[in-house]
Amino acid sequence: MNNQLRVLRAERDWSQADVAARLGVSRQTVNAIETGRYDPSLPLAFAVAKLFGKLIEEVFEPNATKPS
Amino acid sequence: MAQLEIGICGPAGVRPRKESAPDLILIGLGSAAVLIAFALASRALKAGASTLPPALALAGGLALSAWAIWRIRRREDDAALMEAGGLGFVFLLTMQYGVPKGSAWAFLAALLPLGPAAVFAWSYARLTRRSDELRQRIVQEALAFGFVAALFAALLGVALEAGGAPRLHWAWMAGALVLAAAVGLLRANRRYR
Repeated sequence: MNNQLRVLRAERDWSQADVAARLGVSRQTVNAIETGRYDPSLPLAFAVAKLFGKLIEEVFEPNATKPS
Repeated sequence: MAQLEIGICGPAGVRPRKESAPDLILIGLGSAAVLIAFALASRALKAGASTLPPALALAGGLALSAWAIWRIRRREDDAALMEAGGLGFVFLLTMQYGVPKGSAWAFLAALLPLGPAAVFAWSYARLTRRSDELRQRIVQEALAFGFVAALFAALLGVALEAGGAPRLHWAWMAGALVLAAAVGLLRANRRYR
């Protein structure tokens, strides 16, 4: 899953630790999400979107869609 | 949710708080009193003397340790509890008490390591439950790796035994499980670094 977390964070001049503190998770979690190594749960993804005042699909998008 | 960084300090990677240091020292003193009590009991049993003084020393040591553990628990410093429990378990398990087998003191010596083991297990479970979702994923992967690796090690031991190798002590299997879980933790940590 791709995400705009690094861009949104840079726009606000927040560090990973700042975002982690606001979300109530560890800095490692924020870093893992940013680098795409970890896909957050739905509640955490909603919390990230809310933190930046965005819709969830504006922050996260799937890598590639599988044919249904 | 608490701010927890994942490292390789201990099985869950969280360091004890500085405020818990005096309590950890108290637990160490309590453990020392327990060891002295067993040494005195060993002498008293061999000489046929009263074991009341060592019993009092044992009760004092255990009470001191329990009080320190209660203080750490009240502070909710699970990392300190985990450290105390883990070190206490290994320390008490590897000590040679020298009390005659079959006596009440020998049973006490055998059962004593279970106390710190329970503290370790309980604090580790609570630490994991209170951590964020990535940490829970890392611990889950580490335990899964540890379980599979320990199962393989057990099967290997059985196969070697069938081939004529000497039977391994259970402590080796427990050690293999802990080692495998630690390797799994390092692997998972590296994956999500």
